Order: sequence, then structure tokens, then C-alpha cells
Amino acid sequence: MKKRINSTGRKQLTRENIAIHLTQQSSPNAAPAFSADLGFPAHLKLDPSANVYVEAYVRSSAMRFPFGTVGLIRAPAETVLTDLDRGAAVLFRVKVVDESDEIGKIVAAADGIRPLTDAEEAAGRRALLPLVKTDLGEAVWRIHIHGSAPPVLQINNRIPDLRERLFEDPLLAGAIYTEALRQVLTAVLLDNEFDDEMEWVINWKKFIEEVRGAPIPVEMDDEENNLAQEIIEETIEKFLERRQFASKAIKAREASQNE
Amino acid sequence: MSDHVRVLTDEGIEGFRQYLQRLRAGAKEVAPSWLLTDTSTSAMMPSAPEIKKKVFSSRFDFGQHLSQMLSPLGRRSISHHHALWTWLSLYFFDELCPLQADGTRRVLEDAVYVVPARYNHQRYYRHIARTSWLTVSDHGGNAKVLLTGSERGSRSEIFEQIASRQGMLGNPTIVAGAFELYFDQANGRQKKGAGGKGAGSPRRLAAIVQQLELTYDLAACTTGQLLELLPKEFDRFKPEQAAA
Repeated sequence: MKKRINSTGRKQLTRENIAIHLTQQSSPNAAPAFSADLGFPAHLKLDPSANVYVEAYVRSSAMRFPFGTVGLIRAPAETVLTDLDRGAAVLFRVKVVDESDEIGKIVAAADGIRPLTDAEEAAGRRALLPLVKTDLGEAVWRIHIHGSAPPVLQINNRIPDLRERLFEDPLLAGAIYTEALRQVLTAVLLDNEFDDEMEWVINWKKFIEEVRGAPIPVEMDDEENNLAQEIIEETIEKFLERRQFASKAIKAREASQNE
Repeated sequence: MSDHVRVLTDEGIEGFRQYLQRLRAGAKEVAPSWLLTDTSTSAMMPSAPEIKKKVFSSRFDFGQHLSQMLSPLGRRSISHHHALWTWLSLYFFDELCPLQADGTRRVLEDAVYVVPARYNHQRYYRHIARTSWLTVSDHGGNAKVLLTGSERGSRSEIFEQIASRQGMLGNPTIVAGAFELYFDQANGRQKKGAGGKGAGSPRRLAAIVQQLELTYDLAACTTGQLLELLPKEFDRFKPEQAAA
């Protein structure tokens, strides 16, 4: 079982205190603009004079926006994302930079922040595994995990109404979510790529514990990968018991035959 | 003689693309300059400045020329104007892709001459006219480190390592640091060894910068501070006072 920690010494900003909203411009081909609601909890004890920057990025394209200081957040007049690649999801990072020692040291940061989806905006909370529509070529779906950004379930925007069908069709949902969940749980519990202190990893571990009804052992070394594998399978099994995809699919089939 | 800058229409861009394909197939044709002015293949540009053809001594010289000529237009209004950049490539085509002794031209990939309508950094940074203009406009003389050795649309190792990453290309500290490390100002060319891939190379710089960016906001650092943060492997490229 993996164990990685942040050794840079900088403080971690949490997504609870950061909300990014994308606004589509009037023309469909125009680049979107964004707004950011930023809050810095007092317990982080950040210097009010430290500068705040928001960076938007898509693959190797990036844009940087100064947002004032910790003590006085001031959004720039223009936040249009003109220089970002089109056609892929935009992610954001927020940096708090101490420039008092004449060197720009990052004292707090959050990376891989995705903008709130419409559903999250409406519900006022973040999904653990958000659905994002994107062009996946001939693939129907995939789990996308990049750096410190939380995992998202990407579905192919070329397939009409796939999102709606995923909500309505238990057969489709069961087929996709079972494997999607396995991939994410494997990333959380077995892959060495992701820092244990990353917020999304912590949130997913809480989810695992809640679904299993038992805590994850704190220390599991490399020889205990079998245990991690057992936890993954057990979590999936309990998740499927809750969602009852197969039973719902059978009922849906019977209902359609009786019509 | 100067001309008013125009933009290519879709038909004009397609005509230019087909010309590039014919050249690759071995055709010995003059550049289709009629595409630049014909009203079906080009269109006027509001507030278009005048532009002049000239012989450029280097790609940096080309970037300076574009930067001066296009300065009346706002950066934002032209940065993604694919029809403008493609028009400019065709306008300067004899300079960018000159005739060889046997009457053929050494044509590179389309992305060097034609900008796609949809912004994509991995395609845009390869465009010879736009990137020459962008780097000189953003970095002034420091752009020499990127453009020297990247003549006529070829891409040097330094150019590739920095320009392919927009976060690095848009960061004045990093470009200035690369200039200090890899550009021989006395001789106006890249330092010996700057095109390598080993210790202290541009490839290593890109990797180290990504590590440093976990701790430092390099855009808020000075060039000297960036050089100080670099490990010993870069000492052989550092200016003497910085390496000491």
C-alpha cells in the first residue's frame, strides 16, 4: 500500500474554500471567462500581504491571473481564457505567494481544481465523481485522473443523451460505475502516484470507510497489497448492494415486456 | 513597397494548404500570391496596418519586423487570428520557405505555415510567423535564445523545450533565465552544448523548473534568483558571476 506525503512544507488550500465558476460567452466559439470565490481560513495563518494568483490550464496551455492579496482579494478586470486549448476540461490552481523576501515562495496552494458543474452549482456541493462530457473518440467512457485533480468520469459527448441514459438505465450505469469505481479505488489504495494528503484522496478514503462500515488500516506496507485488493472488492460489493443495478435492470426489462 | 495586411478566407487557406501539398509532392511552383489579394480568397482587415517584404537576417529579425508592423493592432485582437497568421505566412513565404537551387522548396508540416481556427497550443507554437511575433513581443531581446537556431520553421532543442509549454513560454523569468544560460551574446548564437540532452541542458531545465514550481512562483522571481535555484549541473552554462 502506498504512502506519500507532501514534503514541500507549503500549506494546502482546500476546495471547500475555493469555488471557480466558468461563464460561457455569448458566441459559442468564444473562450469562456471565469470567476473565483476564494477564502483563506484563519487557521492557516497566511500573511495578509501575500499575493494570490489563479492559474488556469489545459494540458500544456496555461494562463495566469493576479487576484490581489490574502487580505484583499481583487479579481482582475478580465478573466477570459483566450490562450487555453479548446475542447478539453479546464483546471485551475490557486497559489499564495510570499514575495516579501524578494523571492516568490509558494506558501499555500491548491491544484487541479475543476470549475463547479451546473448540477453542483444548483445543489451547492461537489460530487465525489463528477460526470464530464468530452470527445473520447470511439471510447464510451473513461476515468480521468490527472495530478492533484480529483477523478472525473468522462463520457463521450459524441453519443447523444449519454448522460441522461446513464441516470435512467441501470444496466448501463451498473456496467460503467462498477469498473469506474474499481479504477478509482485502485488509484486511491494501490497506486503510488497520488499523495495521501491530497484532498480528493482523503475524501475517497472517507467514502470507502463509509461504504464498508470499517476504517482503512492506517499502516499497510507493500506486502499488504492483498489487503488493499480485498478492501477494493468489498467496497465495490457493498456499493453494488446499495445501488442494486442488476435488480433494477431486471425490473426495467420486465416492465418493458409487460407494456 | 508596402501592402495592407489582409486575412485569408477559408477558400484562401484551403488554396494555400493545397499549394503546400503540391510542393511536398515535388511541384516547382511560385507561391500563389494572388490568394493574398483576390476577394474570394482574402478579405480586408479593419484598421489594417501596412507591411513590407524584406530579407530577414534571422528569425529574430523576422519577429522584430512583425512586432513593429503589427503594433497598431492590439495583442489580444490578433493573437488567435488564424486567418491573419496564415495570410502572413503566405505573404512572407519566399523568405520562410525559399527556393532551392533545383527549384524545389523544403516544406515543413502545415502547422508551420497554417494556424488552425481552433486554439491549441501544441499546434500554435509551431507556427513560424505567430511564434516569432509572440516571443519578440513578449520577451524582447531574450527571444533570441528561442528563435536562434530555429530558422525557417525548424525547432531547436531550446525552442522545443520551452515554447511547447505555454506556462514556460509565457513566463518572462524562465525565458530570461534560458537566455542567460544558453545564449552566447558575444557571438549572437547558442552556447556550445546548449542543444544537448544531458546535464544542464534545456531538457533538464524544463524538468527542474517543474520541480521548482512546486515550491516557488517563478514568475515572481528575478532571473538571478532563478539561476541561483538551479543545481550545479547548470554551472557550466551560467554567466560567470551567477555561477560563482
